[in-house]
Amino acid sequence: MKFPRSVFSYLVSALICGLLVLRFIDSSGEKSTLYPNRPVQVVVPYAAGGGTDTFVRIIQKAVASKGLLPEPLVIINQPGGGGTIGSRYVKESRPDGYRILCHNEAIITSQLSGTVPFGPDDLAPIAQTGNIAPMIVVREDSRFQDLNALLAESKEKPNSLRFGADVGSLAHFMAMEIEQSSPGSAFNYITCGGGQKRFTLLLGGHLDAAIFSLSEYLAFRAANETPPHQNIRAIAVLQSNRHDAVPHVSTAMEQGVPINVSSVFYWWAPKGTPADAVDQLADMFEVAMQDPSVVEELAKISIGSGFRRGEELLDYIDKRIETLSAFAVSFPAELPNFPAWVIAIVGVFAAGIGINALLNRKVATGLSANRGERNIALTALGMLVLYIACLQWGLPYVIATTPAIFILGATIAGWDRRRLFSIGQLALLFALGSEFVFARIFTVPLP
Amino acid sequence: MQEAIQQLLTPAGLFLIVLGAALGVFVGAVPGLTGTMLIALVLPLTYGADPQYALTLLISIYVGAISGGMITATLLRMPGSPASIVTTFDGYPMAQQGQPERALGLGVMASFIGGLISWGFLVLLARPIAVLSTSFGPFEYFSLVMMALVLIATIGGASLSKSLLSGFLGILLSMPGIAAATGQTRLTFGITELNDGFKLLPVLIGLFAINQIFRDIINLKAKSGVPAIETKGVAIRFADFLSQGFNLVRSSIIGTWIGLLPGIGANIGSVAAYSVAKSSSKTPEKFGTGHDEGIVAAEAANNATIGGALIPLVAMGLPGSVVEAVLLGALVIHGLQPGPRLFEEHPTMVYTIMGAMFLANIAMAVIMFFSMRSLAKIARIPRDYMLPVILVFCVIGSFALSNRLFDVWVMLAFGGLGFFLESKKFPLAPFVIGFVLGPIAEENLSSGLISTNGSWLPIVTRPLSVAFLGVAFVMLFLPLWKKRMHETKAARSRK
Repeated sequence: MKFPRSVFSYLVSALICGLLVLRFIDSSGEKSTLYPNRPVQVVVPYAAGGGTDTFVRIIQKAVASKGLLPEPLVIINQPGGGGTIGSRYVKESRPDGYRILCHNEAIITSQLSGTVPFGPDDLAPIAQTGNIAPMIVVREDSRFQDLNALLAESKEKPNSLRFGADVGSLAHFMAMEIEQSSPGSAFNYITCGGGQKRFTLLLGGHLDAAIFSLSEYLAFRAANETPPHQNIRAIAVLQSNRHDAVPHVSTAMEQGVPINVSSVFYWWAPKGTPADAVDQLADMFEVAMQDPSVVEELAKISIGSGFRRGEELLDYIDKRIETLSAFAVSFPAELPNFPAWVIAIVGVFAAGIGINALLNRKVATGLSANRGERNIALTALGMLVLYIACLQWGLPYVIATTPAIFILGATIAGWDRRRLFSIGQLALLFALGSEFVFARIFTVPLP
Repeated sequence: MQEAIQQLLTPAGLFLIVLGAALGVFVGAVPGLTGTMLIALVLPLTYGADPQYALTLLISIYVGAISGGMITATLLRMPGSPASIVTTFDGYPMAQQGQPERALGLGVMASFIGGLISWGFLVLLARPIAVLSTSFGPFEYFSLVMMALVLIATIGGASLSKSLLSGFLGILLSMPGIAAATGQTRLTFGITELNDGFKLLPVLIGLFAINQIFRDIINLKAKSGVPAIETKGVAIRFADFLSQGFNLVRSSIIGTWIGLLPGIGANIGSVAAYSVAKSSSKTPEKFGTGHDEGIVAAEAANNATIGGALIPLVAMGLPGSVVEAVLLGALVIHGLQPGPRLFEEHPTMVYTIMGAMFLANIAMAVIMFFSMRSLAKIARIPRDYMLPVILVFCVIGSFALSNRLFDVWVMLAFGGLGFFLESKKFPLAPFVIGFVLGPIAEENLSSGLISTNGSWLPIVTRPLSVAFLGVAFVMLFLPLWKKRMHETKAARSRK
């Protein structure tokens, strides 16, 4: 170390004091007792950068810049499980209006397909915003020029047309609605994940058709002079009106297939949230959706500015549930039971290794640690478990972390007195410093 | 193009590149934090900024983070991402033998060259190569994953059956949650938090970091003589460039091509390159003991996957990795529509991405070279300071993933599993590769089987697919065959 030890130590202490002051300086302000008096968390059940996330961030930006709510919206991404991880998290949150969910119709379909046992009835709807046109897309050089050609072939040769849609997803339900219009036709549904994967599979000739949102289509459709096997083409819009961005693509209705669906975003609060909080949030979304800058930003990614709330919203949700529940989701039956196969393979290897070990029994080598060190390790493990448990019980981050680092460090140092002071400094510095970086700079919630 | 270059070369542009690379190296090096996490965190801070500057910063973080993972992988045997696991094979032994600086130096050099070579592919051949990434259908993906599993099992130097068991155990533990093919939950035993399965980050830092921390604590006294750093004559020399030249180029090309494949490339580029380096080496037995060639192959391929993964991104708007999916999101938020027309409509942006990757590579190499001596000292920080801090970082990192403590408990449980497996001499690398690639294999096999109405035939009739399986087969039985030949020869000579 270049500094004399004491100078370095003083510097660290000064830094700790600085962070302490920073920490308490802000929380001293007067807080109103009216809702909302702290930031409202918006749970996005998909990863940062996805469609839902982008939509929410546009709204968040407008709410902040136009001052539509006294407190900011804070986005929490909880991806996974087809959106069910995030929706369950909000469903089970305290109904105080400080944690809400933005989700699409997957909240209805994931209940209908049996993925999760809860659905719209277990949450309080706030509003419905945005409006995305879905479309049927094929590869540019495909033999299908319109929806009827597609349906005709799927009727002639059922289960042979490869249609990209994850089983139980919203796209799957839309496709079933199309299928229904021409009795006897049946698509072969292929799991295809997100937009990029769908696009890749379509170009590679691994799919015959798929559903894309208008914004996805506009993004992936290459210039006209691109070779036809490297481009995609829309054959139908699934809404009742043609879209300005693709005026030449006719609607499914015009082609004689009665389907009119849109993909929309819903905002939900946990059931039991006070009505005035729900109203206030709905007001905020209503204003935000009419804001010219929001309309313009949304138009860039081809999201229309639809809005529903209150009774109208409840009716709409009921109608959607009714339409969607008309379809029974059937699962591909001919797939091998993968978990069973893997368990069997693991079992065979384990048995082989076990027998081998029994036959060539050697003196167990074990770890060459003496008892003292093993005890240190066990104490440290105990401390770690206790630390995580404290966080689970809701102890504030700094209050749990400082002693945790101190005791862990001291245990490892064997409670050597000469080191205790600097370990203490480190513990405080790290706990306060990490809280500052994460909570202040990145506005990320800590445990 | 000029506009892009001009903006990158302004003081602000260069500052962002250096800042991004340095931050990236830091989060890449800290177990528990990842480049993906930092990019997702920084993204909202860039909303107000000029999109070109925002992209420059994000790309620089990406490049820095992939390289930074090498530091802790080499010095502490705590890889920060699946990509740097292979670096631990030779980097850690070399560092333990008292040459941490040489291990890091070789890694930095290889990372730098790997990055540059893949950058060359990105700039010159992006469009024609990108089309190839769409020719990969479900069966090709499945076969590729099987090949990768065999490769990782054969390169670790541990018993083959234990490696394969470890790999399949990884696949098994990736299965709880919602099955990709049917959308149904399985193996969750009623635990709703498990609906999304175990996530990679807690699993990875549990298996490696937590396991290693407790191993360090147990060996506290035994290792109190932390390897002395020999500083004289061990840093890398110009001669290393020459002797490793072929290995560097080969590994970089492998990394670039595998990096092309969305979702899979970034994880197994280094596995494939290491495997090729080992099997074509004159001294394969030295691999795994702190061998130059191993570090070079792993790190060159590792960084080369960045360029590879950016190829589908700039040419077709397809992200090749999780990080790039976030980068794509950044493009959208900044009002740019990624897709095949990105190049035509926003050439400046595309040149910015390319330029930023080039400059960030240089910045990364400069930062790492100049801080190498201090970095090497990380291995000598007193354990009572370092281990508690790393533990808390692991807790924060696991938590921040989805803002729930469940993932922290998962991390702890996998720490125990990793400790147990390693004590019983089961290698962990196949476990992680199985865990990462298992779902990809299953999803693709399911899609394939559904589209052929249950026929497995395409696995052996599609040329690429059968080629991958062939390589896997050869890698699996070549060692056995060689051993057999050796034995018969020995027997004959005895006669």
